[in-house]
Amino acid sequence: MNVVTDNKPRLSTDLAGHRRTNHHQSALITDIFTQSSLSGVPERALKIYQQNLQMTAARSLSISYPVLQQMVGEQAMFILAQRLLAWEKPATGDWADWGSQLGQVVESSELAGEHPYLADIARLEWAVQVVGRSTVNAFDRASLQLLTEVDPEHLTIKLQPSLTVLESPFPVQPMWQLHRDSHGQHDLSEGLEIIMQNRENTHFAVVYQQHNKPKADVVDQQQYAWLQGVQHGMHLAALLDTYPGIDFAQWLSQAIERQWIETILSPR
Amino acid sequence: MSAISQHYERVENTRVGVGLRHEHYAEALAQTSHSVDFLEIHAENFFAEGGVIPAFLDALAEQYPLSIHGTAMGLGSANGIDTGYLKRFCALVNRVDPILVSDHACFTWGHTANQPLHAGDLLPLTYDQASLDILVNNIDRVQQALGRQLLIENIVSYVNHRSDPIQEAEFLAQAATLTGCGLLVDLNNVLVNGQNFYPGNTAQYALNWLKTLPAKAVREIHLAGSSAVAPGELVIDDHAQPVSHACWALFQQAIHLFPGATTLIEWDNQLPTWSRLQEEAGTARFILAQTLIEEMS
Repeated sequence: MNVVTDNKPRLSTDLAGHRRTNHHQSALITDIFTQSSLSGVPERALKIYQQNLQMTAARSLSISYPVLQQMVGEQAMFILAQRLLAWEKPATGDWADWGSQLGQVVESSELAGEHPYLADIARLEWAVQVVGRSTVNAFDRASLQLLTEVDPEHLTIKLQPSLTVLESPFPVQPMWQLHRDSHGQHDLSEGLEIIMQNRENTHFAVVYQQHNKPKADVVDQQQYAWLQGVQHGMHLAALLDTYPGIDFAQWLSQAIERQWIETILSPR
Repeated sequence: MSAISQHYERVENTRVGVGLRHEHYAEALAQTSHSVDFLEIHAENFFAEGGVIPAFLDALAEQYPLSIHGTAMGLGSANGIDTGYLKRFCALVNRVDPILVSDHACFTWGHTANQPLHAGDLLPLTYDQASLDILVNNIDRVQQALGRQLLIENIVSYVNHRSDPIQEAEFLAQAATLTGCGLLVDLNNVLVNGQNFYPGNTAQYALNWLKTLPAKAVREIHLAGSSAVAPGELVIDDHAQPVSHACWALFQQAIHLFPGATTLIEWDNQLPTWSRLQEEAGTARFILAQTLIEEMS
């Protein structure tokens, strides 16, 4: 194999040429993303690159947001993808990383009037997408010993970094789960029924990864607040004082089983 | 060694594989008897650090030799290649130890309104000295990071390059000579560019194009098909059809020109069944054997 082996990059001596190339490439990218014509690339070629971008963006969102796509349909999703391109540019080279702002785009769209819950469905689904691709570290079982050795005032719980809690005026988790489990057999009216049955409450959910798969569960307000407290680094004694309704032994057992916890920490 | 056994060995040593797409993941993993020599995966589909994807990848790598094909590296980007992207790419290569690693001679990284972005497409380079310098530096950086050879693939461009100072094949040949990288020749891309910008004598254009390349640098061949378009419209590189007759014919020429090059069937859209895709690989193997017999006689 004749791979170049000197470690020094061979910088071009033609700096003007490099600048010219950089300028042309940036102009073409700008033309594609903003429908301008700075690059001098012929219109019919530009149109193909613009269409490619639109199709790829829409396909990418349909993969990251399968439930939302079921709920709003392919055409609406295509339009949302075009609007999202103006809000959030792909930046990493992996389309799976693009789309975090879709909830805001939905919120500002015509859909929000009749279907105000869709923005929170999008936020839940993005959390599922991110959590499902994140690393989950094995629970440090030895750290359980600290519970018997250290004062709870000096103990904190470290959750998996990807674990996400969400709050919504709508029962988004059951709506999302209904569509996810049924693979598109339900329409928006069934989601509305769930809202009508739960309209008095604020709703809470936790998104996490268990056995390599993302999951979303409903939690009550106290469990939600407890998880937020843990995420913010409250020590165990303060958590127990603030949320006396939480049965810590039961919560801990469930949290370990669901792979929510990385370790229990003591500053010592 | 007899001529027949030499022929047999050459056919045996030439790998024929298919591109693996999401719709075929389960079938590929469930298959116990393999009719393809390797699978090519798109790097970015396996960038996830956790969840089901790494576990699936490990299971796949136990069953098949894999080749890793990047679709986003943008080796000709004047802005350089994003360091985060390169780290993820290298981590994937280290995890899988693929038989080949490849990406495209195009650009993808840039800026708009002072915001860095990735174009999400394979955008065409201007074939001139400045672009060649940029491409060479970027390939060098990637090969140093990987610690192994990279193959670069020719793309379909919707821009006419007839007036560029360097012709595309010569540009790629120079990149290979200057960096030691290998070449991945997508025969369908050569034909599509020929149809779009050299109409009337596409087959001859394509053959001349292939003959410009340093034969030893060509380590892989991609075969694909594109959807037909109305007269006067540009053919789009959609990889949505079986390998075209023109592409099979050019493949026969390529077998003579680039002995031992690995062959891949690339089918990305309007996917056929898994078994149909493998049949296409079987056709490639048949043509390979037949062409080598003709070569002997």
